[in-house]
Amino acid sequence: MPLDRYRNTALVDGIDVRALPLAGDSPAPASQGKQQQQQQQHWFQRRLVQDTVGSGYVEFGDTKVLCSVHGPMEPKRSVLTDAGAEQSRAQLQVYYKLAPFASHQAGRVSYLPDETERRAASFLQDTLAPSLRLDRLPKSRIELHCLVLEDAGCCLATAVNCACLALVDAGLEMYDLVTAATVCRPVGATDWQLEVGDGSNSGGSSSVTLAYMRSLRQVAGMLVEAAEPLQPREVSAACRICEDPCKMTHSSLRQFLLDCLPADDRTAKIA
Amino acid sequence: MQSAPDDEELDSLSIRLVGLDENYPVRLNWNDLGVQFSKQSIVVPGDRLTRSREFIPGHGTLRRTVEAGSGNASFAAGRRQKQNDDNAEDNDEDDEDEDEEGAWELAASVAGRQHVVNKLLCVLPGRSRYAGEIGDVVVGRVQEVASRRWRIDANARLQATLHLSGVLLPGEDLRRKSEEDERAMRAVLAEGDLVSAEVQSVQADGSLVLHTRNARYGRLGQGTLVRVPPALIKRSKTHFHSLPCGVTLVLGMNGYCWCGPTPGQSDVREPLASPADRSEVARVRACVRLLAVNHVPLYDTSVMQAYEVARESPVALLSRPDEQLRVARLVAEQLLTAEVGEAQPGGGGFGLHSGDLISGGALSAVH
Amino acid sequence: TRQLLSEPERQYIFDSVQDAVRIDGRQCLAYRQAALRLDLLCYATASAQVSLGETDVLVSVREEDNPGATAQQQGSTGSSASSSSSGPVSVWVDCSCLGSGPEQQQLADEAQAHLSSLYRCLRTPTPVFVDILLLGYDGDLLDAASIAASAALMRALPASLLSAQALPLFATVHRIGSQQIVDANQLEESCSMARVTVGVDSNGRLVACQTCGEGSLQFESMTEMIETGVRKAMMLHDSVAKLVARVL
Repeated sequence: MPLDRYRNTALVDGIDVRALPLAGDSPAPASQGKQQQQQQQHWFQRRLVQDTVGSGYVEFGDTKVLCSVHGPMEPKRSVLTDAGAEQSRAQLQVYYKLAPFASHQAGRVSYLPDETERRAASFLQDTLAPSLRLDRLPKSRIELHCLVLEDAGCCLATAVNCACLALVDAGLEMYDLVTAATVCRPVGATDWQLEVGDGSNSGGSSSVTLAYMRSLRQVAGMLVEAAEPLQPREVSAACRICEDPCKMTHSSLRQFLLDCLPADDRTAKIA
Repeated sequence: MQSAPDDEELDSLSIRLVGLDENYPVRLNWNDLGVQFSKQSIVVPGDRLTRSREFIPGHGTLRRTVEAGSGNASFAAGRRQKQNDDNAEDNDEDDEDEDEEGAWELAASVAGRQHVVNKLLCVLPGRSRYAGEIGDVVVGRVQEVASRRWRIDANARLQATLHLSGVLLPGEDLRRKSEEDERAMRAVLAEGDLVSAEVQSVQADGSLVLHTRNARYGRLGQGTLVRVPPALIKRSKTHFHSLPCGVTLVLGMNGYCWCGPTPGQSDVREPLASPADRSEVARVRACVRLLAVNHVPLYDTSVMQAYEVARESPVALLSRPDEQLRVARLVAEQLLTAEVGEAQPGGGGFGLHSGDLISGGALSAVH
Repeated sequence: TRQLLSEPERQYIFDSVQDAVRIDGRQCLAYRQAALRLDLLCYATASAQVSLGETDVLVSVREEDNPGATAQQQGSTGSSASSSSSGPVSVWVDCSCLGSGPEQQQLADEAQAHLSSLYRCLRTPTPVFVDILLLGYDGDLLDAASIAASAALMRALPASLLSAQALPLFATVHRIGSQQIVDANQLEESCSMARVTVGVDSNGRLVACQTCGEGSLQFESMTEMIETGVRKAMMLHDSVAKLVARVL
């Protein structure tokens, strides 16, 4: 649950949201050779995975992430955990994995989660937990599986967006939508650039990923991967730069949901 | 529509090549049938619903207060929508913690459509776990036999409970529950058994307590289970349907539907169904599935209409998405015609909802 | 994977198969309709997605020139431990979309073992990695996965290699009572006590053959099931070949 206070400033209006194709009933854009403009757009889709409570799929440029949500369901019984403490809130468990074919760089991703993936999983867990109303689901367990089908850059932020979409699709109560963006800076450069999914980031740069809840104006999570020592004010500046892309992603995710949600309610019209 | 696919099926695998830019399988699009769904009252988590205190928060909403200037925010839990709207007196319990000078607002916590019933404002998500209400008819599967109770999977967040005292045993009136009954629980219901029951109560943590104290509830015999989204089951007077084709259909409100051959009159032993009966059961099962994947509401009328439309097709064909779409579309058209034909008092036509009748100001979601 | 079912349900499925009217109305030796989609992934040499009923499989095939890749694999434990010994075609199956329980892991492990043995005879110039992702499951994973892997391999490998060797396909035959069925859905799989999985190449030769399940078979039944499997696999080869010829 978000604990920080936020300032009730006037909402920022007039953000230019680029026209995005509606997902669900519309065709997917071609994977290969996307235009420059398309590299910076998100493409959302829900319910790609059958037999789950909720699932989401996001393409950001060439990066593709698939998330599926299981639960809420009975918790796993374990002798190590304290029974009393867990009964009051749901447990969120996040699994994050890059598919073996996901990386376009040389070499394959190994089959077991390595350190990067484990860290990404715990980052996702800590980022999404503040946005979920876990106290509304006592004695339950929610599992979130995150699979990166292609990693062309910015996959952690895309995974956050995708996980948020999957949780919304599952009908779980949330305080706000969480969206994320990443800025990166090659070693020795001075400017932070928005990282997009076009495969241009080939490692050796510092990156700052910010996960943001727009309506609440709170930071859900922040991760810095430094290739060189950074000044604290550089990191805060990078976070500030991340804010706008997060808001834009929030708008486009919100628009996507507004467009496909009326169809969910179709049964209420007939029945 | 193909004719005589039986030989084709055996001699070849029917593979359909799907283009990269195609969506497959294609499901029923209600917009094509001329049904417009209003977008006005759709909200996503975090949207502000209203600042007016006259609304009572219901399911899917949460209250937050923001102090002007310093920007303090605090949250209060929203209320589960209860069947009886008697939570007005509980509404004020958090008021002492709220700053009277701050801006109080009601926000959405799920993505869905907002509904207003009298003063209760709630947001209902399109798809969520079955929550359960008292009186619902459900179909469940026994997971565990514990002491004096069974634990049942009823497609809810937590396992449901069926107490030994909630079961109708033979010779009910004449004896109390004895120790032999406890030991013989597995003879009544064992692990894996399907049972139809009614929701007796909903516990504080959300788990359901079921009972089968009625002759029509109890263990389900030969047949098969179909799982559909719970939201598609239309609430009606009865959920047990004996269809004219000789199939019994139980539509559980929790999304578990059971179809099996209607047992004959002899209650000595359940006779084996004939191949013709099995074919009918398979057809009804296929109809329920095809309606479910195309988001058509499930009740006896819709299933019967699907059965009539699909009567001439071979049953195996009804698993193909093309055929499913064809049948579902015909059923939807028939349902729409019937719906529009009836006079609907109180503005219940398509595109209109009670939430839409409230004009802009108080309830407009803020970008 | 075996589902928890009640006795009457099990009996109903059993009797339905004996009467040759399966739960979804199919005949005993009929397959469900399949759908095939090619070339979804950018970074794979080739990819294919096959859905057989509700079973949905995404396969990626990648040729790897990096010798360091095999070293990475040998460091991993668990189901892929034996992959280095199965020849240049390595297979990995991922069921994480379905959940993280032991049943899903077991499904993945078994599938990986079967598919590794299927491609044991295949020789490729460079190491080839076949990665299988399960997006939905309703029975008959092996047949669907082998069709998808075949389609992807046909696009990835050069034509000269393909003409010399024939890519094999799986056909799984279950035995329920006295009847044999193919393409069992999850319910039927839970009721079958024994099954035979045959891997057959397009020349009709066996490259893999195994019985599984908790039940035992008589010699004659086993032979019959193998014959049925080979027949069905040839049928699958015909259908897949016709389709791929249109595309390639």
